[in-house]
Amino acid sequence: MKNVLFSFMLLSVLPVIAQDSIMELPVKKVRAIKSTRFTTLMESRNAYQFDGDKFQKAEFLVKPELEIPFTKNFRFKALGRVYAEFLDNLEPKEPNQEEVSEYSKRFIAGDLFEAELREFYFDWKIKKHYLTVGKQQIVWGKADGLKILDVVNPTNMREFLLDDFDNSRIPLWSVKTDLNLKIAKLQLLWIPDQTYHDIPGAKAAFFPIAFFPAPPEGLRIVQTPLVKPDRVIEDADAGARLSAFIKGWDVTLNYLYAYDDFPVAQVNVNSDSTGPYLIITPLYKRYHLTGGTFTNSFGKFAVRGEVGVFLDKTFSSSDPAARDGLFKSNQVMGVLGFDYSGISNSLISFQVFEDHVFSDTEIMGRSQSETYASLLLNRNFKNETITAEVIGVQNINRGDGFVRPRVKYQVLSNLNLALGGDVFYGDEKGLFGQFVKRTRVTFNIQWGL
Amino acid sequence: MKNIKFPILAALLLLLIVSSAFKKPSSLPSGDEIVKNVNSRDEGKHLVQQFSMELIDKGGKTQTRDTKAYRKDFSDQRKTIVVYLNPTTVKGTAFMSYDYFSAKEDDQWLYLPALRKTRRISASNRGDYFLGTDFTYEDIKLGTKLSATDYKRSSIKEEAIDGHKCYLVESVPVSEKIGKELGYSKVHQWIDAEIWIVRKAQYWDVGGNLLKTTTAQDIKKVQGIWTIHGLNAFNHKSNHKTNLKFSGADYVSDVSDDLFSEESLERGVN
Repeated sequence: MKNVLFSFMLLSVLPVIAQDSIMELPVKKVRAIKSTRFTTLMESRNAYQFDGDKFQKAEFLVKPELEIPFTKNFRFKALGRVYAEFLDNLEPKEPNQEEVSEYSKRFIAGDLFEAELREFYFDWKIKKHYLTVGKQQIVWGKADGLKILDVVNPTNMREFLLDDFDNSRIPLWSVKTDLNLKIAKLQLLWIPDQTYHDIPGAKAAFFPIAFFPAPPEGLRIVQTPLVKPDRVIEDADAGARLSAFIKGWDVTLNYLYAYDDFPVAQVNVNSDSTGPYLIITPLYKRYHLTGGTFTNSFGKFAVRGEVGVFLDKTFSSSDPAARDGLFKSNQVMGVLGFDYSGISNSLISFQVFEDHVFSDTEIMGRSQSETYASLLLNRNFKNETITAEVIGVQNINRGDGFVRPRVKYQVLSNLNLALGGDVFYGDEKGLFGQFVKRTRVTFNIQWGL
Repeated sequence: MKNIKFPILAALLLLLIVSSAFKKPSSLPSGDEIVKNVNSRDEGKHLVQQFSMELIDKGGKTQTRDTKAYRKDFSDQRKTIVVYLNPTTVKGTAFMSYDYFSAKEDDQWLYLPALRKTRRISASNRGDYFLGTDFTYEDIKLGTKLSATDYKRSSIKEEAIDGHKCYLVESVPVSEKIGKELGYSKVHQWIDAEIWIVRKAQYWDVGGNLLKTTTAQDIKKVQGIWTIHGLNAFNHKSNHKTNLKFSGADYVSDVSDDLFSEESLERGVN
């Protein structure tokens, strides 16, 4: 917590220090300090829920950002976020943040307010290579809307997958190197920050109940606290990405050795004088992820692909025969996307996702194979001051999905209004269908300073 | 006989007068020669400059953007990056293009900070307007150059623009398909006869209606290279205007080859 407060204080005073120090610095440094950029983005995001005829959220965010290019090859960047949700609906009361490491926790001020250090890193260019050290977001993958390789950073799930990924992705304290090889670029990652998906409590509007089905009735359950890895070195995640541009194709090969950001439920049976009972222990398990991406364009089409193979991934099973309620399996996830821009100022994007677990053991909260399809229609009007967009995602197996229409209007250079909706439908046990009662209209204001 | 000869002579005389009026002066270079001169003008091997955009709608409402642009020529291609610095709501958005000198289709990318991802975009929509301006992707790509393959060109006459001797060149797309791709059926360009820069241009849409007029302003030498410092466009159909102001042109400082990559866009080009 002290780290967060200290960082926020630093973020506030750095521009002042930078300006005050100009008189004492040599000319070269003065030039760098004068390039210091401090900007702030403010957002008001509101949603009205049809079920129960009530407002679902009333968020207000302030996002200050500071960038100091100390020299041409060395810069510092910090990004903060002050957040309020006045209805206390997305994370009721004070979130316990048990999934988050001490160094990445948000500063919670009562039920409604919080502050978070979103990014805080130094970026060096050393010859042709880069070294980035600090709290940062690392984004992999080419898929829109669903994540396959974009799992380096965990997610705050207070709005399920509806929040912009830039907002919901939890930055981690990491070391990243980008090596410029002759024909390719090699990114190496070391992430000692043991932070995982921040899942809201059971009373939250978007608690993903489909992932945590209720145990059989009549059984006594004892749930232990979350068991979280906490060894800085041994429990760190590590990864590598090799990327290249070959004959018009952007290709990457990715590898990540990490803890799954979703906990699994280990189940043990015990008994006392009143009879047997289940001890459920939520804990994290490691996997190896290998995969890759490719993109290219052909005439009016662009094609995107992404595949991830999870080796030795641990799943919670709903099969009573499964030992400890857990089993290991390999899993493959893939997406193929086509973007068509043959209509002026428009984009039509279609994606197919496939997610297959090789073991036929019954998995808690999902089928062995899940297929999703998504369609995006986007069109700009009036010199891009108005953007109309609709996104639809459907699970082919269960038939559940969601549709998100949105109209964005750029009122002034630095002022945007957006009106939209999130419509969920289908099987209430499905990934999207579980939120049928959360269907809503949204109204957002974004103001840059 | 006299009666017959007179009308024939009169007609021949009239034909002579009319044809001489429309005949280009013998000193007028051909369209292809002019294109060659424009395209061989020294633009430096690389360039870094800032440009601000004013986008003014028909009601007079003005939106502003500040950007920084990087360009570097390689043996077989030109690589370009345009990154938004302001306003905050679009800061970090970046466009990157590899424009091949051969007939190979160009490659283009758009980095969207809200997604923190780079999206490969089709380069075939060259007639689409570039990020809300009145310039198309093709206009931005060409910069001060002219396409040698998309148009048939003919020089029309000499005409002064802002007191500078210019050649008026008419360009017509080589095919209807190319015209549709570019969004133009005809282009008139007034090209400075001394420094080989387009000072003014008029564009007609595929329906033959006057579409837009662009004018270059404040052309002066920077580090020995003629450089445009202002470029305005007026769309006659929508009454929308775009004013670009260029500053800080630097042809000398090195531009790293590595800058022109997806990783660079994602790291943040400054």
